[in-house]
Amino acid sequence: MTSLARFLLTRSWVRRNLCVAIAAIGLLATAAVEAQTGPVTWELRVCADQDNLPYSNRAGDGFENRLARLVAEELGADLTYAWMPLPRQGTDAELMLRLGECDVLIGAADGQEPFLNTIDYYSNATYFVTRSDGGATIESLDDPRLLGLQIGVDRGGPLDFALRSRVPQSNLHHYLASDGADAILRDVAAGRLDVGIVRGAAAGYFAEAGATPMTVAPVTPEIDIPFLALIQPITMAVRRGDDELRDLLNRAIAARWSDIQALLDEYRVLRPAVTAPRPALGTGVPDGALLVGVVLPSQTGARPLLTENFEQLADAARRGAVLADELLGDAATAPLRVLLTSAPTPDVAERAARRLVVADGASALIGGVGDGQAARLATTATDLMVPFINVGDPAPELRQGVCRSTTFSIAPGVDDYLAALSDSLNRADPHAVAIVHLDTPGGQALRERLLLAMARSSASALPVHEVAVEPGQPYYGAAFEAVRASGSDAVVLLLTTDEQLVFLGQYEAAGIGATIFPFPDPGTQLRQYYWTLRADAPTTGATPRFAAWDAAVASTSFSAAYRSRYGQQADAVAWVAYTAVQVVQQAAESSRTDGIGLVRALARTDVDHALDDGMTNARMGADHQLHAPIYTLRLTPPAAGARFQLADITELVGAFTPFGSEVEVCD
Amino acid sequence: MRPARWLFTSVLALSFMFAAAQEGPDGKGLYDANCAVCHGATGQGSVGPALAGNSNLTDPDYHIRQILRGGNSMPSFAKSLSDDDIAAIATFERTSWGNDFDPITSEQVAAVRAGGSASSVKADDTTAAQVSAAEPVVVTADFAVEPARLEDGNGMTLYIFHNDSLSGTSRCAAPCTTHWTPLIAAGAITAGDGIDAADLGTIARGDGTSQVTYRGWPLYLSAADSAPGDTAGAGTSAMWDIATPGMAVIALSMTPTTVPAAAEGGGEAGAPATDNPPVTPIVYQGTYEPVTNERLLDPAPGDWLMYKRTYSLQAYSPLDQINVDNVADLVPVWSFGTGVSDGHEAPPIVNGGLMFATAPFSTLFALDVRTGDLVWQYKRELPSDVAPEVCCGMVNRGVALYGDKVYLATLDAHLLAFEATTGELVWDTTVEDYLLGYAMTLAPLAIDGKILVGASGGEYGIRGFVAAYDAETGDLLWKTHTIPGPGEPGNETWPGDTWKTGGASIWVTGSYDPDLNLTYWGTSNAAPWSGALRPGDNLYTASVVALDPDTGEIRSHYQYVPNDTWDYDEISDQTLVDIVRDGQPLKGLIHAARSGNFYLLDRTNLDFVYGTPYMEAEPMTITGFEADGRPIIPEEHRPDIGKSVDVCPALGGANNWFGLAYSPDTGYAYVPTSESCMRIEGGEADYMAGQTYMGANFSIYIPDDLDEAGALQAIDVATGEVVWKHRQQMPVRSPAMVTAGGLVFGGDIFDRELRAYDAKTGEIVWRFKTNSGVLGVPVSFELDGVQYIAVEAGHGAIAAGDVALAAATYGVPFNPVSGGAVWVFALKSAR
Repeated sequence: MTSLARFLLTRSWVRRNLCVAIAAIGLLATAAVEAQTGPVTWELRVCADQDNLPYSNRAGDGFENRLARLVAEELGADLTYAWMPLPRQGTDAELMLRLGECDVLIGAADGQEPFLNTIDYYSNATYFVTRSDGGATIESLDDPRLLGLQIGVDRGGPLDFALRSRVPQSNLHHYLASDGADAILRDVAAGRLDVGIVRGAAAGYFAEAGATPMTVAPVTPEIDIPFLALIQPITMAVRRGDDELRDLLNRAIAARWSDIQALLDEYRVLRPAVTAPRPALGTGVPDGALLVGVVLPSQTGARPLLTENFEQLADAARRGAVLADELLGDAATAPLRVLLTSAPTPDVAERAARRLVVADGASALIGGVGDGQAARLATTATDLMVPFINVGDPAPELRQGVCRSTTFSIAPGVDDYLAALSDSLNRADPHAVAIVHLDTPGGQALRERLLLAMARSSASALPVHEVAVEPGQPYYGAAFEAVRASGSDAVVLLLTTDEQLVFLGQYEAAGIGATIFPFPDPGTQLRQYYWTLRADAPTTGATPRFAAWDAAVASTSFSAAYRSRYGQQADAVAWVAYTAVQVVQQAAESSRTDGIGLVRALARTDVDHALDDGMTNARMGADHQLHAPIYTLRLTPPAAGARFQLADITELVGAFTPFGSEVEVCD
Repeated sequence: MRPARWLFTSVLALSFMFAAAQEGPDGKGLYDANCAVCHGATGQGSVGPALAGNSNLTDPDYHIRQILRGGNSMPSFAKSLSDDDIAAIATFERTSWGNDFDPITSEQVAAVRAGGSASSVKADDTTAAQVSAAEPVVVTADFAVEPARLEDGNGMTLYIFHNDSLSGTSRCAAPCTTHWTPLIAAGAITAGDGIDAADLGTIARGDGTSQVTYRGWPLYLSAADSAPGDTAGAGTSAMWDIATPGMAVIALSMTPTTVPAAAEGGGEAGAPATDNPPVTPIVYQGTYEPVTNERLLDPAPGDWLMYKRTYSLQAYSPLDQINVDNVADLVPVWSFGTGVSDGHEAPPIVNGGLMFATAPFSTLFALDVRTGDLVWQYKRELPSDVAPEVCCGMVNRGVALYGDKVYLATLDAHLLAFEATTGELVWDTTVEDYLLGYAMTLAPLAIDGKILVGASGGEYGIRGFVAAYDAETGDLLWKTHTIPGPGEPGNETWPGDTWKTGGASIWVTGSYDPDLNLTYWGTSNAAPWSGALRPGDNLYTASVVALDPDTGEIRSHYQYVPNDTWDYDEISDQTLVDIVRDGQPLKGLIHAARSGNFYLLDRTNLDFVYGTPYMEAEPMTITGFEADGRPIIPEEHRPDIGKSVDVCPALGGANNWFGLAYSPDTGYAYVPTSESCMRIEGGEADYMAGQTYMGANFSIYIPDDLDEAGALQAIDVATGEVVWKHRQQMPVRSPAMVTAGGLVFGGDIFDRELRAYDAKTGEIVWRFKTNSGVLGVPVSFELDGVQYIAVEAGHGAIAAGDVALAAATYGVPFNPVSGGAVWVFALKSAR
């Protein structure tokens, strides 16, 4: 999806995104190694300026530093910083937040895309600053004396635009954030400017501190024609999707309102009066409700960031969890609430997990979409003594039963998928099968597991031909020739999501009749992917596909509710996330609702979990894998005239319930 | 900018005083005698770059080295001038015309001459920080203070620079070194109290000296400290801290994985070019026939030696082994993965058995045509701050061949020459300063021993140019700005100083007519974007200019879009065609304009013949033409500050960089086309060197009433009539190529296909699905009696975004697959 991002974002965003990402990564490395987080603490990680008083500096002298300390103290968090580049430029803060270098910005204008804002805790107004001995006290943008004065103003802000239509360009002197908040004040004091227009924080902090007596007056009018607001409410900002952290911060701001205002007074932040907010504290959470934390790399802005980062999968999983909250949350026994967080990287996932458990009291974690996230959440959950429910990662390492005693998987694992695939292969009864796998250690391991699964499911040994390919190969002509030469009439495709797409697109034209049995990498179970595949490879795409769920499964309360709420059919991962919440709730009905109680209840292999497909009672295996059906689908050919309907593009062919693999010896 | 006005005045005054006090008459005299002829009597620059306000002079090493070595058409003065002379000249240059850089001593010149650095010599400022060469360097931990800190053997406090952690190299060069003295290890390094010797090491500095490191952090002394125990350096900058014994090992695993070719390191930002990355030459066994003038002027049918094969830019191959009847048997022969993501736009250029294919991030591969094996490759070590200076994708559009060399233009605005068979870098010329927004993406053009290039930057307020370099030496032969300066005709079309930052950049290869001896180049949008900020026609933006390739003189022009305010770059192919129109032979020039009109001009003088719309979305910005060819643009189509208009096409254009293909067999031009409109409103913009200089608000859309946003169409050049139009839902944003076999080849970004169309009817007669979106220039060539088709695939660049927009508009899921590859096809039966 990088292309979409590259285009739809403005050109200047595009030209900056790479370099800023790099700068941000570099800075992370230079940030001081902060307090180690232990099992009972959590980390409030803030992006801040290194040298921008009165707001923030590395020594922590700014009022935003103090505010961060105050909030961290209220919430019982360890405060850490990711320092923003020097000089900071326009999108640095947004990118660092979205990349997960930090989780919070302390001073962000309300409503600024793509952030999620807290309640505002002061208003950023602007002030005229003149030398007290200079004679002219300016109070209005429309004061005719401005026409003859040298005026300093921040470049590109609303005041800049308000002035451009009023005074000669040659009288306007533009300043950048990198000049420092006191630059205008210094030039007023030195006589280089007649009038400075500065934000309230700088006006109060510097104007009174300097040796030159200054006169400060609020800028009027407050709203310029037609709609240019000259006063901005200032909030704290978190990533879009980090609803839970936003709620925590709101509670802290409300609880410490008078301390915050006192702090702003201490720094002489000039500002219009704001009344104290009354955030709805804990509204609607039933007493004793089970809190389930959801940690996913969902999309954090209107366009995805640099690379394909599982945002489609994560967004679908998030929708499934939200639906579970809606449908199951107010159950008479074990009412629950889903807490939503946004975690672009494993580091952020760990921070979110700790926060969810320590600060919010969540007693179960759901996640596991994206590179490395499931592994990190598994170890974090063990530290925190809560169950981690994996909804995205098929890796065998996560399915070690008591060896990973707090990790449970609702997402089918590699072995389950391969068992379903082998079963289907067995029914097709081919003469010979070709296995196309990557020539890498991971690819070899996957092939080994396939051979084991095939041995388990088939009485008679099938002739097997192996075709090794390189990762990311542009052309599979040689592989096609090998398949053709082998005489195989079935091909098992053990490639990644994108590789499968390229392979199948070319295979379609190669005219080989052998039926494809593709490994259902989670990315290949998205309905968008089905659509592309159906267009790219109408014939080969119509061969069996395997998935944890499909909208073609007989109508259920889940399907109907999902469709009505989101206006689309559910992707497999949405069903898996929904089921994860449901299974946690069922565990809670029969046990204590703390983490240990839930782990014990989830580990029981003798309990039937009734799933919302209306027919399945699934059990947890000794490998901590829920043994739910894996569905076999077929993509229907595109109907004439109905080119772009994502609905009803699959047919259900069958279902297979795996028995789970043996639990391997603990590492 | 900051209140430069007042500061500048005082600096000027100071520097004049300073110059008077420090400078004997010989500095100016020597300058006048040796330098003024190129750099101007007042340092304003002419043949050579301006020295007044030249930021390169910040670095004394660079300055001295440039005078000693020359290069870039500047002679070397190492032999003709003494150290004293050079110091006098350099000091004069550094302190005159408003420059305010430190003077240079003859000792410093001597140090650079000997291969060292000027910063190792401090003529008059011997501080305690000086480390003499013979003494061992001691690093000690002082635990008596809180927090504990590192000190040198004299008890002076040691510091670290946070920027160093970005690369593990020292990011502190002049003038930084005037405030911070690197702890240089000339002799042994000793671990003092509390220091583990294993934590100490050295790194090489740019001047060849060794700097002591602790846990990977280069160590410095502060000029602000004067006595042992001082820590005055700590308060001077947030990016500097006192080194502590407990500090963490510097983290160096920060390779930016999203930028495959932009490796970390690569020298200090803004510093003169460092040594080039190593290439890995492999002996090429085949013969390599030099690319002569004659071969370029009249290539053999099987040659594809330049961007669109011939100087006419027709993208026409006279080969016909592959034709409409047998194209169904066209199959891949090999493919080569480039390992680079982003848009692959280049044609694979072939001479005999060697193919030269470029990839994004200024990457060049020489491949064995018969096998697809890599012969050699070059991956430019781009500075990490180059990305912000490239607006629309880190792309490259191919090489030029001349003699036994290969020429590559890079994103950091260098022109490189390689030995074709070994990949040895023969010369590396800086064309412009990339930090000002110049970037080079085009394929250079070789004409008679000259290599012609231009640079992009229309979004950064640059002043465009075409420049010619000596193919053998890399020396600059001429440079013609595409915006006339004061006193030149056309300068009056710019108010005030706006011509200095007006755009008219050059980023697609020009064409050349050897009979008329004219080379034709299309120019970009005007800058900033809002035309209201620069009333007038703004020559020669959004134009075609005809230059004399011997002198660079502009002979004629036609302006496609006067006072551009829609970002209509008219840079794509200015294709030369010889046709018969109304019974008369015509030396024509055709252009499928970004603005959505198809043009025929008379190329002898660039007179307008016709312009006709080739897109369907309405209202088009240009509604018609005056008799003299000036476009008619109604006032309601012109955005202004605070005034938004809806016009078509959107700024991405009906055609963008890819141009067209022309077949002399059919007389048709084959034009990739897309439909779009935009709502655009003018906005203010402030010029800051190297920053974007745009200032407009816009949103792009596809009109509701269009079911198809793309087409490949054939236009009969003689009449301007559309002969056939193959419509498709997705925009066609990929170049076309046509052959004597009656086939038009073109890629597709959306479905990853390379397709062949019947050149007469537009029917699709062959298709192949590659690994990724195809937006490269297809080529055809012959080797060993076999005709090949080759193209690059690789999704990315800003044009690919048009496809994403169409997909979103039509509700079609779009799963782009990234990854680059070169593809080569031939008939099954021919091999």
